[in-house]
Amino acid sequence: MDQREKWKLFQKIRIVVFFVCLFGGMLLGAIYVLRPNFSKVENRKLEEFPSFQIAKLWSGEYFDKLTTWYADTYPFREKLLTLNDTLEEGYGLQEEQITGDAILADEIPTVDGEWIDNVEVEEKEESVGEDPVEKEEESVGESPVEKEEDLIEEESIEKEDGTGEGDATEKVEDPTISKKDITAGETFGSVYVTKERAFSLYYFSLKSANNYAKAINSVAKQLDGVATVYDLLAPTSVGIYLDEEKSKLVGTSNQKDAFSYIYSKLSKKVVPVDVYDAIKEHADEYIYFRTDHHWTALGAYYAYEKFCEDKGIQPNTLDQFEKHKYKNFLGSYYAASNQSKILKKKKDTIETYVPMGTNTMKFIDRNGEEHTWPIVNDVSKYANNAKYSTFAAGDNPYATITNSKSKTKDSCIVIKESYGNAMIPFLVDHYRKIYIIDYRYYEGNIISLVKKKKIKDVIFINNAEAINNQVVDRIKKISKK
Amino acid sequence: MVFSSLIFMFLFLPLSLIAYYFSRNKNWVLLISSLIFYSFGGLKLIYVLIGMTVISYIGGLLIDASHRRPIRRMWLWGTVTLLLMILVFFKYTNFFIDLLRNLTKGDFQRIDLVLPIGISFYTFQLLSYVVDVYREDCEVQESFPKLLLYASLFHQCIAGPIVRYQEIARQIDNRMVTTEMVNQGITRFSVGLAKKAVFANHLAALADTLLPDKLENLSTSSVTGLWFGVLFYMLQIYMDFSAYSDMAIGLGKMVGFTYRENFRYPYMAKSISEFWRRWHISLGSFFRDYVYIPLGGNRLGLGRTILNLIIVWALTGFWHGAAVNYILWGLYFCVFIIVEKIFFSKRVSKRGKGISHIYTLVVVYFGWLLFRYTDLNLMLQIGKSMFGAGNLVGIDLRTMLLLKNNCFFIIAAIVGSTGLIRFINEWLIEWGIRHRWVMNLVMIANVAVIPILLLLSVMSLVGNSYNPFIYYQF
Repeated sequence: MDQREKWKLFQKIRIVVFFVCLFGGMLLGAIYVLRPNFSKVENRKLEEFPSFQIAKLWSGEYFDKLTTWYADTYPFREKLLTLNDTLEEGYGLQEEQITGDAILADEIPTVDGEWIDNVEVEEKEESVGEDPVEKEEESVGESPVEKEEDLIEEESIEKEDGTGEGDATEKVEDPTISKKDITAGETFGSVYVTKERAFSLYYFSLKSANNYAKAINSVAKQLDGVATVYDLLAPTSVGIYLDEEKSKLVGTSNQKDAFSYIYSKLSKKVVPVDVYDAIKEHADEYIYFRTDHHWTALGAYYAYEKFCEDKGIQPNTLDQFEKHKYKNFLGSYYAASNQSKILKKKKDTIETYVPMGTNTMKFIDRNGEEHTWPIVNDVSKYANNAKYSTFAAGDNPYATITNSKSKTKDSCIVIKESYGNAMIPFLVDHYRKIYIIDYRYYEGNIISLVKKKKIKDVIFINNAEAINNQVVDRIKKISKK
Repeated sequence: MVFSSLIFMFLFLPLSLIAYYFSRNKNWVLLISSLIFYSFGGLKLIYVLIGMTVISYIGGLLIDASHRRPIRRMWLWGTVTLLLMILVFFKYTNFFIDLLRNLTKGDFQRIDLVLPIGISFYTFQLLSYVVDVYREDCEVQESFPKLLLYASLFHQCIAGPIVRYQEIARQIDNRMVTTEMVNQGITRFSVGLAKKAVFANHLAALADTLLPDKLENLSTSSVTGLWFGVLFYMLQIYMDFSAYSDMAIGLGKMVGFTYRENFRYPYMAKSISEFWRRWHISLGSFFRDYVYIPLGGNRLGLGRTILNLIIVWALTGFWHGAAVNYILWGLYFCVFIIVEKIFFSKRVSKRGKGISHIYTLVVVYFGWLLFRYTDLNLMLQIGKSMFGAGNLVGIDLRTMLLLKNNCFFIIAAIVGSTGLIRFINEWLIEWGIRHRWVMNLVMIANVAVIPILLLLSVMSLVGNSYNPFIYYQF
């Protein structure tokens, strides 16, 4: 074969290869059954095939949707995504990474010990939510749950009766697992992945801090003489582990200072449970997950110890509890960092401590269904990313625990986001009855609930990042006069 | 629809190519494909495209039918004015409303206008047709579908290059597809696709991370971050825009059209005038042939030449968008071009070449800062902060990690925007003529590169939400 012929042949081969790729891609795309409709990696429902409407065709929306659908549900999309992640890891020397946008934190004012008691006076400037004409929720008793459309995501919860303890093999049907966990009140701006662990960067907001203190003060004022209000601010891992120099470099705020500031803004009617130092003291223990934004049960235990100290009761020691371990937990940071390879090697283990008095609770899920559930659940068969829901049945609007073996007849109410879940098992043995409210989903009124049920202790548990305006609005909403 | 989408690659393109290769009415296949392609942006604005083609079609016929010069001129001006009015209406109405409001403090409300996709490109194509008919540089097109094909051809209708009618008039009726051409076409298309999907999109993400979009966010930036941010934007905009032209040229070649090059490694230029002979060539030459030279070019004395240059560059800038910064961007280049014209007309020495290359890159670099921000105050603050005025940190961890995590990618992007890879490939082929084994390797590599580029592009596109072409908006 002479050179010229060979060159011609070469060109033809190239052209054939190109067209094989093109038509191969087209045929693959035409195999409808191969198209996925849910992305496990991104934890979201993929685009649906658009319904045809002349108006949408006219405006271009129909073809827009069609284009998105075609790419979004293309066969083997997940594989291609993973492959692309692998490719992008080769873009540089990737030992650490930051995802998400930078936010400028406010300066934390130095605490000068001056009490702000005039907080209620300026209350009106802060609007409660979007809708100030809210109807009063009177019937708190049996069905405190109202449906709230935007929280009940179509795919998130399937109904199941409460006996699912043993047969929780398939994760999706479990009412304690919500797919929207991260987006509801615990969104993170930036995730910083280091060789050791990931952090969600915390940015102090002066306005939110002030509003938060006001909201708690308002609850304490309304319950003056009825119950004791405790406020426990939980540091997140970034506040414990990231040294000052690095913190400055990434622009994350000092949580100790932030908490001190907030505590200084609380009225004297609130008991501050300052757990920061107690937790920091144990920094070399396994108190925070590496791949998830929560603390471990151990971390929560040290907070509980501090709470007991402040309340003046004797905490139980860890060796009194029955202990379980669940391996291979890959938490929210893993997802938020686009499945960082670094974190994948740093899988967490969940350790749980089973309460002694009882391990049974009742809760009402976000669909208003009632369930009976273990307080510390066996999550060995749960999906890698869902294992934190072992604690207190995850995030539900309303739950109760009755411990008939309790020595006291007291009851408490825990008003929390998901950080509180890991601490609840330790509280069980100190109360006859515990009410648990996740303020993000609860639609009743905690003031009337406390009064009606004659609750003694009101315990707010909030992690540093949950001190934001959304949360404040929710707390205000459920504690309106 | 954009070229860098799976639905284009794996549905529209194969189907339209099958139809094209097996049909006898190839122009009809192209026309129908183009109209379908265009209607992906919504049917409601296709009437603008068709309407403007009708105007140009009639205008062309009227000019051609008249023999007296004043009458031909009248028809020319009538048509051109009409076309420009439509363009100005859709593209600049709100700009002028804002301007009027700011000047008079009166109550002028913006009107709700959707810019028809590609209007800046196809208007210019139609203008060139009408003027060329008037100048008798080309025959009048008597078939309306053929003129519509020219205006709407999906290869270049929505983002260029601005193909002149006279360049492809003959190809519309008579074109040959050779193996050689298809081979070149698939190369250009695959390379363009990868430039867009792999490089431009990721560069855009990097630039967006580093460059603030609002004044409030400036305080979280770092000085180093800003400098690199503009660099990434500089690379992104080249990758993005030249990728589109690559793909357009490639698609043309697959069906027998040859369009002129639109980019010739602009960042290799050694003067600003040269940069503009390498950057968006079809636009620069349009303004040269249809505005600058008719205004008298450089034949009417230095003063008039400078005035002409200012007009041309203000218009060039304004073409890119209905905002003041684009006009400033055009005038910014105008200043350097005038200075070059007056002082540096002589050839530069060899050592001077390095310096002039750096000078050109620096000027272009700051040009992109001007181009990116329609908010002039924000642009100014960023510019000041880059030189240390904003009290920003020198470098923050975010920037450090971003650079470290993307160091190889950044080098690849810089190399990719020079002609180095093409040069090496051509050099190897040259070498291979004398050494059979080299040639064999080169051929294998050149075959393998096609599926590799396509796969890489698909991988990037499948999870990428950041996709629109920058020039799509013009």
